[in-house]
Amino acid sequence: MADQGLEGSQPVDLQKHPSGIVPTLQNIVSTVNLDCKLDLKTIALQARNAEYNPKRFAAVIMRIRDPKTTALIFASGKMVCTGAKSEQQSKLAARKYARIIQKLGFPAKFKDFKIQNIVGSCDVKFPIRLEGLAYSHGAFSSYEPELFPGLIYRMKQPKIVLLIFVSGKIVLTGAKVRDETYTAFENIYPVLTEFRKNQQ
Amino acid sequence: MILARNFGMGSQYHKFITMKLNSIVVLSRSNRDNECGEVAMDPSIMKLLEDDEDEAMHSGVDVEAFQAALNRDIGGDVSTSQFSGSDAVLSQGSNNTSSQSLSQWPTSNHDSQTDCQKQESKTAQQQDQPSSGVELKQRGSLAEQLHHVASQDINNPHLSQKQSQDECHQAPALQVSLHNSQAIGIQNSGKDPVLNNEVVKNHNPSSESQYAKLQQMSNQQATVSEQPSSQGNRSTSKQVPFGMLLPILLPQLAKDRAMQLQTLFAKLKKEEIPKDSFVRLMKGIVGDQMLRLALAKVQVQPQTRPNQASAGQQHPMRMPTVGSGASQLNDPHALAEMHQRSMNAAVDQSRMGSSAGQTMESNARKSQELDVKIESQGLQPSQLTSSSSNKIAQETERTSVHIQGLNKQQQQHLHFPSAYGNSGGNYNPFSGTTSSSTSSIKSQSHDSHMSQISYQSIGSNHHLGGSTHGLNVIGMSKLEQQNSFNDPKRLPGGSVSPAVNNTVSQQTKNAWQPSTNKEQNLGLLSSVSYVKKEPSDLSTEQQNRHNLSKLHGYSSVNSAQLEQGGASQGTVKDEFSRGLPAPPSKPPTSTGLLPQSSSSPSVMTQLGPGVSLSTQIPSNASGIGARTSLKKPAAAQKKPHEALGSSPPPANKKQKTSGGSVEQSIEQLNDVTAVSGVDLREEEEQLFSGPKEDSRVSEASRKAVQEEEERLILQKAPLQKKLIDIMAKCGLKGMSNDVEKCLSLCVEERMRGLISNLIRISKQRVDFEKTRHRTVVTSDVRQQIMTINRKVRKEWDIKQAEAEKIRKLHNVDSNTGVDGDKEKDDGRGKSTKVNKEEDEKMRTNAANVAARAAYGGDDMMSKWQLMAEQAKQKREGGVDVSSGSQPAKDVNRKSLSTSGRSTKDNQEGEKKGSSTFIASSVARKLGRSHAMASQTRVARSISVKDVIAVLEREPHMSKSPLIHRLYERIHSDAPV
Repeated sequence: MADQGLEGSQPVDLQKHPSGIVPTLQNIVSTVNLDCKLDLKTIALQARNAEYNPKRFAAVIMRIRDPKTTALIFASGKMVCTGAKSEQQSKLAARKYARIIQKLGFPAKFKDFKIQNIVGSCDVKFPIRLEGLAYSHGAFSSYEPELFPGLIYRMKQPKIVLLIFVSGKIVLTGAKVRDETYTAFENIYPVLTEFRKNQQ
Repeated sequence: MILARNFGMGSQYHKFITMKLNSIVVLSRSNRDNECGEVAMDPSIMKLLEDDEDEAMHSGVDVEAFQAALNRDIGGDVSTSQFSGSDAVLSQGSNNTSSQSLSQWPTSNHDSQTDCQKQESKTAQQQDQPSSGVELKQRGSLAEQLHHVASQDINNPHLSQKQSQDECHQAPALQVSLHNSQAIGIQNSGKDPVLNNEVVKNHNPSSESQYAKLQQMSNQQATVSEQPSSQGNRSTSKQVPFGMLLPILLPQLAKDRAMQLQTLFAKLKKEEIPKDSFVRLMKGIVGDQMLRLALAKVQVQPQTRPNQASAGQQHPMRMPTVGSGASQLNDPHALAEMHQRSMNAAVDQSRMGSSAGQTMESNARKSQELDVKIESQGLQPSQLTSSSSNKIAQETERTSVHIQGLNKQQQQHLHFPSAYGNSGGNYNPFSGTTSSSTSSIKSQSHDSHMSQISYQSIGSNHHLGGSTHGLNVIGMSKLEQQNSFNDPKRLPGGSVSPAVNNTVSQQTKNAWQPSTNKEQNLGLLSSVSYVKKEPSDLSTEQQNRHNLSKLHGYSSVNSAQLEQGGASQGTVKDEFSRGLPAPPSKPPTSTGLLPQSSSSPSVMTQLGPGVSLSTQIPSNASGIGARTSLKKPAAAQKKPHEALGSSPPPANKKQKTSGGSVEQSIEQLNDVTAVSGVDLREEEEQLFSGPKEDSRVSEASRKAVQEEEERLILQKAPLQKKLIDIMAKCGLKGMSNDVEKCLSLCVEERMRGLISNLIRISKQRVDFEKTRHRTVVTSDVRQQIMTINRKVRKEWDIKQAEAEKIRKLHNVDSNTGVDGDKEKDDGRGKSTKVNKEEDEKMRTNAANVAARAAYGGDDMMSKWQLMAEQAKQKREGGVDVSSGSQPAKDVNRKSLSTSGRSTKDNQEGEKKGSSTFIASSVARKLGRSHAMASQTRVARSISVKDVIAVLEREPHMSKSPLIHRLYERIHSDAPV
């Protein structure tokens, strides 16, 4: 009977999220190369929702409502798109910005689209003893309560930086692929349960 | 004429008063007046002599030739009415000539010859002037006779009326009557003309014929004024610009510049600076452009006089037809003289009217009148003085010689002093006439000589010698100069007002543009900028005005050159030294180039300072077009700058980003946290409340730690016995209490490392061994209990052996280091952390897993909860663990699967222990992938071979007795 029990537990449902918690993607930063020189003054004057202040920042700041994103457009033709909630939205927004630039009369293209950073967040729903975690994982942790209230955990594989707070909220940043965020959380969840703070 | 000159002098004197109220100036002025009076004696004497010579030598001159000569002379001369005074003086001289007897003629001839030898070109020029005037006046006197007869009846009722100007004229009349042989006759005739003039002034509307005659007289006046020599004209033109330029220039200049200009003018009058330096400094202050515009204004006034001159030219054509006799000449001369004076008064009144509304000029007029009175009073003492004829004659000659020298010096250095000399010469005849008969004879000879010379110069050349040739050359050069001087005036054509309008508009624009230049801090000279600005206005004006302005520009250049007169070479040098871009000789080139430079300032103003323009301005384009075209290139230039400027910031930003990745400042963390929706304040609050809870938790954890530390992994009784034995061997007498704890902790760390290595090696075993371990064997309870007890003994032995060796080798540090490295490996793998537990804990875990498996708890949550419970057990302490271990053992006995080798109890015991490890590892790795699951199956048991393999790798265990015993077991298994 015992042997049968062990064999029964072996074909476990290989779900993507063993902990039962899925991090929420909060921000995606992507870059694209329009591959042409741009006259930022013309763009700022003709395009709507565009602001350009050369003294403050040497790029045109343009925004669109759907997907709700912000783009930084440089004279070299490089563009940075921020604020999307998924990879597909980020690419769609970048294409929309490129289309706007084309309508203004510039021969804009759409080359080298790349996701540069993904920020995720989730809540484990129980308090965490940050001192214990910092002590036991000293090689990966930096915890300075006076400077920053969260514990900064630098995971090596995958290479993700996690911000762990007393309240149990976790912020994961630095991923270039969605799965890296999920993997990092599944790796840290057992440790969080180990250093769970008991309410006595 | 005398009054006219006085007006000019008065204006200058007025400026002296306005600039500096200084007695020295007044004294110097009075001295100048005296010198001027003395200078004039010689010309009048020479004029009289020339008249005599003319009558004697050319009594039979052909009338036609004379008419032709007069026409040429009149046509070539242009003059102002200021010379009428000198004509009046000459008429007095002619009266004296007629009154003298012919017996004295030989003496006068001798004097005239002497004067001819001494005279110079300038003196001869002056002589030409009065002789022609005398001729014209003789004809004018006839008209006066008619006028006198017609108006005799009206004279009586208005005898009492007299004006201040008439009083001025009475002085000369009285002087003449006092010293004339026919005192009574001349006096009567003198009074009548004065009254006639009054009647004319009061009753102009009543008599049309009188008005017509008055017009004819005024025409004669203008005609007479044309006769003076060209030198006189040039001196007058030089005089007028300075006196008239200042009122025009001062309002247009800034206050400081106006003061500078006035200061310079005062210095010029003091003779502190020469004329050339004055002109140069004035250009520096005012600017060449404004100076030319002012000259254009001054030239507008003389243009009206040529009209009168042309009318006068027609009138003299009829005069030659009238015959002349000796008896008739006496009365006409006197009448002509008085008429000239009345005409002067009329001219003065017209000027007064024209100057109405200008306070400054009216003040000048008043000062001029005062000057006239002073001068007339000054002349009376000289007239009253009388002495022997010889002495007076000698004094006159000496004075005239000295004055000639002074006159030459003054003419060379200054222009205005020469003007004084010319005007002063008009008073000389008064003193001459007052002298004895000898001096009067000399003056007659001079007049005749002058008239003779002038006739010869106008007529054929073959009658005169070398001196005549020189006169002709000088006269021709003068005529040419006059023509060139007149050309600029004629260029404006039929209408004067357009030129005036253009001038005014240009001045206004020029006044604005220099300030623009100042604002932009251009490096160009002010004079150069003025010259350049003129053409720029052309581009903005209409086509017609464009042409007129061009002509006006050329004329202004020519007039500027002409004004400078004898200093033309110096002026040219000054222009080159000042760096003028285009000399006046090439106006078209400069006109083409100027729009380029003029357009750039306005463009710079629009584009802002600091923007450098590399584009060229088309010279032919209009100003507006040029500006429009310039804006686009400038905008195009700005774009590349912005593009270049925008590229560096991204590079800097990238560098900052890379730097941030190294440091990752708190600000960036805050940004990321904000994006994720975490409230940092709440987090901080929880941290603040955390210490209280942590303090309680920390106390509990401290207690647990102490309990665990007190409970050693080694049993105390056997350990103490072993230690006593070791002490006996080493010769030690006693030990501290800490030794037991240290040994216990060392053994614990050592076992942890060994177990982790065993597990990793067991995973690497091949599959063919699986079949042997899967065999199920059943055994009785007794044998199992015995097996467990044996196992415990062997573990104790192993521990003793390791402790002994550690003690001998003193390798505690090295072992700790090795364990540390292994701990790091554990951390990375994270799956072997559970191995920290003791054998009992592992058995307990295996039992729990089996129990949950039996209950059917396959979900992931149950497994995570299990991990959480394990963490709690660590904190609670050993009591729970010990209580849990008993049931675990029972379960383990029933459920464990071992090999089928029932003959060997020891082997069975060991295999059971290894199966315990397998169970615990399975529990930890169920959450992994399928591949991991297959590996766990392979790693179900740890065999003796695994233990041997691990121990062989360690240098200090490779030759230990433990390995030897393990080898013996293997050999015992092999035969079986």
